[in-house]
Amino acid sequence: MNDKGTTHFGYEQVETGEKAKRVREVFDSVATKYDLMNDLMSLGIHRLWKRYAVELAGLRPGHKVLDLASGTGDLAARYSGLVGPEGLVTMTDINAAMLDQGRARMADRGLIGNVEYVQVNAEAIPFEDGRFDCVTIGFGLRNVTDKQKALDEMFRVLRPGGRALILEFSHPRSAPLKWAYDTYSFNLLPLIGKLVTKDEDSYRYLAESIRMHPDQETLRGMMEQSGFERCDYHNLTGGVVAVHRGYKL
Amino acid sequence: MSISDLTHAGLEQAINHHISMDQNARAQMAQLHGRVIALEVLGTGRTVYLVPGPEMIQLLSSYEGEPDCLLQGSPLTITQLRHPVPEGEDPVPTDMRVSGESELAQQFCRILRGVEINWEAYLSQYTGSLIAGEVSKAIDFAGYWRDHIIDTLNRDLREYMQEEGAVLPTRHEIDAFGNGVLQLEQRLRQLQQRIERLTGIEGESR
Repeated sequence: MNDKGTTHFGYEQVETGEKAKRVREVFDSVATKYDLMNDLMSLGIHRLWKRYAVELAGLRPGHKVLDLASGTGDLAARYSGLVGPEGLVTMTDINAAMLDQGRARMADRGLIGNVEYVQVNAEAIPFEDGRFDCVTIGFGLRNVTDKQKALDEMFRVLRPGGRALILEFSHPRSAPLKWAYDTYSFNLLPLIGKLVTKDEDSYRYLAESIRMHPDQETLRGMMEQSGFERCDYHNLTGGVVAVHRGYKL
Repeated sequence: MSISDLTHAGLEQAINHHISMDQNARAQMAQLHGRVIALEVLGTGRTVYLVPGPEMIQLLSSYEGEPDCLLQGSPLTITQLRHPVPEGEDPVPTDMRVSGESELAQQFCRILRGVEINWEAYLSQYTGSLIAGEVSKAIDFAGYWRDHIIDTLNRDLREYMQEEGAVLPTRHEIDAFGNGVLQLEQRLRQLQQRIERLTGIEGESR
C-alpha cells in the first residue's frame, strides 16, 4: 500500500479498497478446487512446509490458537490435534466460501469440539488484546492489503510470551532456483490453473502476488516494527517458502 | 527441513494410513487426544514426540512441553513393536524403559502393535540401512527360532507323556478306541432294531 491510496494486485496497481474485492473473487473462483491446486502447484510439498511450520508453533495441550486465512484448514487440523480437548483453535478466513469449505472439511475429518469458525479480516481482528497463545497465517499475508496493519493486529491479540508464525511464499536464494521457479510459476502454473479450475487469471495473480510479497529480511523488519521480538525466519525449499517467527515478550 | 523431518513425515503418513483403515485403532487413538508420548531411540540421541488426535497421530521432532510418558529403547527393542501381542499380555517390549504414565505407555504400545509399520525403514535414518536391515533380520530370525523352540518342546513333551511316562495314549490308540466305540454304537443300534422287530411279530401272532 502507498500514500496515494493505491496498492498492488499482482503486478497491477489498484485502488486500496479494490484489492480485497479482487482477492475475494480469486478465492471464490478457486475455493472448491483449492486443495487439488495446492498439490499440483507445489507438487505436494506444501504438506511438508505446513508440517514444519506447525513444529515451530510450539503448541501444547490447552493452548488457544488463532489461525488467520485458514483456507481449507490444513494448519488448523494439525493445531486441533496438538492443543487437545482443553485447547481451542479459532479458524478464520476473510472469504466466506473458503471458510465454508474449511468448516465442511474439518467436520468430515471428525475435527469438532475444539475448533471455532469466524469470518475475519486480518487487518481488523475482532478479538480482545492478549487472547491467544499463538497466532498464525499460512499463505495468506500476501493477499492482505495492509500487511503492516495485519501484523500489528496479530501482535495485539497475542498474550505476552505468545508467538506469531507467518508461512508464506518468499524469494528463492539462488539464481538457478529463481530462474526455474519463475519459469514454472509464470508459464506452467497458469496453464495448470486453466486446465483444473478453468481460471488462468487467478493463478497468474497467485504467481505475481508472490513476487510482490516482501522478501525475507523485509518481512522480518516489518514484524519488528509491529513490536515482535526475537524474530527469525526459516527458508524452506531454497527460499521458495519461508516461515517467519516472532514473540510478544 | 532435514532428512529427519522427511522421515518423520513419512512415518507419520504410514501410521495414519493404517489407522485410517482400522476403525478400532482410530477410536483408541482418539481417546488419547491431548496426550504426548516421547519415544527415545537409545544410542542415536534421537527422540520423536507422538501426539495422538481424533483424526490422526502427529510426529514432532521437538516438543517444548513435558511429555506424559517417555519410552526409551534400542532400535532392536523398538522394532519389536511391529509384532502384535495377545490380549492380557504386556504390550510394552520387555527391554523398553518407561517413565511417566505407564498405563498410557501400555495403551499406546498396544495400538502400535496392531499397526503394520516399517520400523526398519524409519530406524535406518539413524542407524544406517545396513544395521537396520540386520536388526530386522535378527528379529525375524528370533521369531522363527522362538516358533521352532516352542514346536520342538511341544513334540518332546508329547513323546515323554505318551511313550516314556505312558501317562497319555498315542494318537493311534485314541483313533482305534474311537473306532471301537463307533462300531459298538452301530451294533447296539442294529440289536435294538431286531428286538423291536421280533417283539412286533410276536404281538401280531397272538
